[in-house]
Amino acid sequence: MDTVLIVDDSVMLINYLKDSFKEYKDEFELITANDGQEAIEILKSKSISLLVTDLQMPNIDGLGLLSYKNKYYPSIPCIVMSAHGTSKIIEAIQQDILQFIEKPFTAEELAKVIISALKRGSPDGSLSGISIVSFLQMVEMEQKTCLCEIESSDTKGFFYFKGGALYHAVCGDLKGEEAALKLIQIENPTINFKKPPARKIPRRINAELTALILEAMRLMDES
Amino acid sequence: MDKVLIVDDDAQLLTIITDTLKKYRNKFELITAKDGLDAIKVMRKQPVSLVVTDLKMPNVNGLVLLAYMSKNFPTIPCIIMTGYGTPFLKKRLEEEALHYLEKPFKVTDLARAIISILGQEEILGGTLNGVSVTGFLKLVEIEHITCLCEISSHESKKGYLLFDGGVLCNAYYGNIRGEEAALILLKMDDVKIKFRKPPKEKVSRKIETELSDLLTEAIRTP
Repeated sequence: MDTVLIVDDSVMLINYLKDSFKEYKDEFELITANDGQEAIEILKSKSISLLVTDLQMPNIDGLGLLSYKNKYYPSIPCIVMSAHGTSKIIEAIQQDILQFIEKPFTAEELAKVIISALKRGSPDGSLSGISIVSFLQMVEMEQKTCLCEIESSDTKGFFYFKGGALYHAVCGDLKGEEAALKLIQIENPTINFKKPPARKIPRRINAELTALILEAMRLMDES
Repeated sequence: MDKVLIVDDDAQLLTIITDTLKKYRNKFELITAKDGLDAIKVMRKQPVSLVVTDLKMPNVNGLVLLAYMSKNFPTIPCIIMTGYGTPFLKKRLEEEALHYLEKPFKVTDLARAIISILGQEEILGGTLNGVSVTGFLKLVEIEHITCLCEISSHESKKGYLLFDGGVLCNAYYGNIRGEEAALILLKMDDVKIKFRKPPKEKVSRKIETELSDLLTEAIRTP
């Protein structure tokens, strides 16, 4: 039987889903967690078929949880529940491994998405996990202020976001847009979300994130 | 059929409530509003039997909605949903005849409260009529609200209580300030209450006594 882990800090939402999903107990087993930390403990101890998570939570938030999952359990598909998604961004970053459901939703609507994700089985991208582009767009969507560290076997760098806007990037000797373009092109990096430094970081990137992503993709096609 | 208006800025919570309560659709009809302003528009358009509201919301918040209702729809009963209650304050609100649900609550408990209120054949003057100024002030305290409460009586006496994050900081009545002014206002009978935006400048605390002690004092000394 498939096991579905649902993570949300709203006790009322969790209780509602637990109650409503009794109807689907022949289709999947439900486990719930109230924040990212609790979810990580569950991932460590149980075999999970599908992770369903909110993005804004105390302790470890949804992005932190997803980057952890990406590193240690890249093949587990995810459904992100978000109240902030504009459907345009959501359409752009839907992959088999990562899907979205916009809040508010009914339990029945979520159940449909869960069941179809479980039926699809092992998704594309099951080896590499969620792409860096998807992470960057989720940071923008959630209007986060954070330091996003990117690391691969031979490259290391970071993006700095303020209120969801990309302010700065550093990759080796490269800075600003050049660094951002290089980082976006890294295949299967490890992604870590950190608290930004207390000091003020001046804005070095004025281009829109979407424009940078498109440019990076064009460069990848060329090479 | 009775219409029940649910007011909350959390769209997911509204969906949870409407989806869970749909099995009661032969008993009452649910209408939802995303803030106090939206709720007022609904109430002006159609008769509502009961309002269930959150207190913290953008635009018109729950307290302003309650104050508006007590003036314009004094007979409509109300259930308050909030995330700040302590057992002690909850008990005191119940004494004030306010129906009160602490988040997170079981939706079935909400259903029970709705059915019980709608089932009362004659709602004695409506819940809000039963809410005294004291009741409102306790809500301000529970919800950690920053506001200026205007208290006015029939004899056109008027004064203000200034709250900062739910703490009573100062009171104004004519030339009188501080605790003395607060006691005069709390003793006034048959008053109306309005909520105003607090002054922008930083408020210094001039009243050290707890609101609950002042209320006791006001009742004790005629």
